[in-house]
Amino acid sequence: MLTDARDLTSGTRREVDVCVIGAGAAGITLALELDASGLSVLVLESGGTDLEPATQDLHAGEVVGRPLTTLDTSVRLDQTRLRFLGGTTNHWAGFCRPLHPIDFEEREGLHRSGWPIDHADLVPYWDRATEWVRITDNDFSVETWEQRLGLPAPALRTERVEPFVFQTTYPTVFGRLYRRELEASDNVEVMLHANVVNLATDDGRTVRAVDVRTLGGTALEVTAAAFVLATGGIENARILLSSTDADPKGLANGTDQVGRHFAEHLQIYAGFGVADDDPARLAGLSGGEVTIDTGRHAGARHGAKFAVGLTDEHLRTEKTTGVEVQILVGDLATAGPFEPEVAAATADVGALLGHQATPPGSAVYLQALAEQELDPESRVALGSATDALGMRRVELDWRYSAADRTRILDGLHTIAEAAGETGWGRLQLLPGGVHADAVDHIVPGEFLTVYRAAPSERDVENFPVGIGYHHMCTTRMTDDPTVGVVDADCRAHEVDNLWIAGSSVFATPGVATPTFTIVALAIRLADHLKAVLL
Amino acid sequence: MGCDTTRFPAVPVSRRDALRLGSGGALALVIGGGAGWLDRRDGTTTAVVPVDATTTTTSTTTTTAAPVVIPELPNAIDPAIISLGERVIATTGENDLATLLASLPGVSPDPLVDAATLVREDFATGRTVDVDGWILSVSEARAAAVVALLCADTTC
Repeated sequence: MLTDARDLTSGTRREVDVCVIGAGAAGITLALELDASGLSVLVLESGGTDLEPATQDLHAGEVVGRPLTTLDTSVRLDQTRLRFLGGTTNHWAGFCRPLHPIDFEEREGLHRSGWPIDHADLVPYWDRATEWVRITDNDFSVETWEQRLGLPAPALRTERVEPFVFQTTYPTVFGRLYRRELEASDNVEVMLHANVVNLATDDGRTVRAVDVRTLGGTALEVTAAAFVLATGGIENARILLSSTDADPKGLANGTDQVGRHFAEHLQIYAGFGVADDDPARLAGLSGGEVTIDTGRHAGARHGAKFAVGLTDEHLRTEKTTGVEVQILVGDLATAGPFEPEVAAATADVGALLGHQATPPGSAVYLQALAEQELDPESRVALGSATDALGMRRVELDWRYSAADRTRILDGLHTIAEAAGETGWGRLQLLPGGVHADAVDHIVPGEFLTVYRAAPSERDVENFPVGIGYHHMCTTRMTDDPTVGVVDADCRAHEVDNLWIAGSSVFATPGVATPTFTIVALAIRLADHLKAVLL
Repeated sequence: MGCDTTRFPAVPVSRRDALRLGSGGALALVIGGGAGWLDRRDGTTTAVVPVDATTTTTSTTTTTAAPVVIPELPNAIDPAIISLGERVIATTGENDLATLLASLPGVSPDPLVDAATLVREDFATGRTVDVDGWILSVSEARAAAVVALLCADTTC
């Protein structure tokens, strides 16, 4: 059922089996996985069913480290996450892929790498997550999707580089998709406009209750056998740091790890490409959609996009981080004043190289996503400003290093070498020399603004790095409580009845987009809570 | 820089030939001996110009190069190849024709296949050069430089 905290009177106390804080991908999945268990579940959602500026403003904060940017546009903290039913899935692009086996390994040369669980441990949960995110199945093999789409993946397959598949599900907005199920549930209650301002504790070992406030001033209290924090990679840390009943450093923060290791996916518009003179090489670049009868979503169209990236073996031997490139074809017809520059950067150089597969008036360009090494100084902290609820706002000090930049350039270079080695074509790497707007959903025929900066404007040492809107690793899953916040079951090391869901528990970020794994971990947590509570 | 095409033999070059005479194609052209290779494919006469072994001096070493063939270019070199070759030279500083030719394999009877193999091996072993951001095989880049130097030598 859906209820509203504004309809309650101050002083109301609620007691449930499981209190889930946050109704995004993790919170909704977790709650509905628990639905049939008989456990009473209360989900506290800060927002309503749509975006409300006053509530969204609670997400505002200060960026004191690396700027958040989409390369040429600065992004505010409150633009990177959404605070209403469905959470940040309300602007999710729908790219799904599981993490790679190497993401779970402790990797020599990479600071604090590795998870306390294995890739194989999550496979059954990724299987189940396919239903929640509404993709076809847990088959991400290139061969399968080439067959399904009838399109070839970029044939950049060497010992060091291989193509990958993202399954796409768009738009998959959890708040809309699962609202009816939530409304119909007898065991799950989603309480809207219920902002958690404190995890109350007497000793720091047990959460006694959560203190809830509405923007109108109504104060509520919820007690539960189990509390689950599921408010996203930044807000999870903020709520813990703000809960200072037993320790001024915050709850579950005895080792000062909460909020540290903040990681993003580094997004780089990396340059251009020219494919060899076989039109088939371009056919699958932008992926495709196809109707597949899974028996679960009648008539649903399922899609996939191809990327190329570094193999796990290459990452192991080179002790480096993941870099992937989507090689996309964009139509230049509407590139306006930048069209000559784009043409100069692609078609003309294509002629130079003798490769003419790019259709006239279009360009092959490179959009890269990269993993960063963890840095404990990259962190979510509390600033001095407060929000409308009196909570201290977030101060985000995002950091990535010169070594991260070098690894990205090396990775891009390796992929460019694979393009030549396989005879696919040639890649031009111009990180910092390429700017793009609205590139998330570019397909041939759609608007594309890409231009090549003048050489004097390029700055390879300081090329712009954008963000993926992926906030990770701020409450890492570790066996060792001195370097993380939760254990392998997602339970806080220091708090017996507090679990954490979402990408904040990622021990290392990997290079795959996170939502699919967020959902898989939520399912796994639901199974764990059932085992603990029933 | 443009090329005075009247200085070159009048070997017909098809559109497809022209496309292949980019940097990768330029490599085939160079190790094929030039326009004569294109001509030979049609069963007509060759126009390969062999030269004796040459001794070249670089700033640090003296190298006795294997006999090289100065390719005789066709009359339809895409100016873009010359431009690329000039950018290669500007990037690498390698501007000695004989040294560049000596760094490439001798005349090949099957230059397209051999050029493709050479380029593939270059990329597989990391023998690449960054020219204005383009990651090129060293061999194909040097071939483009050869073409640019030949054009320069013929007062293009």
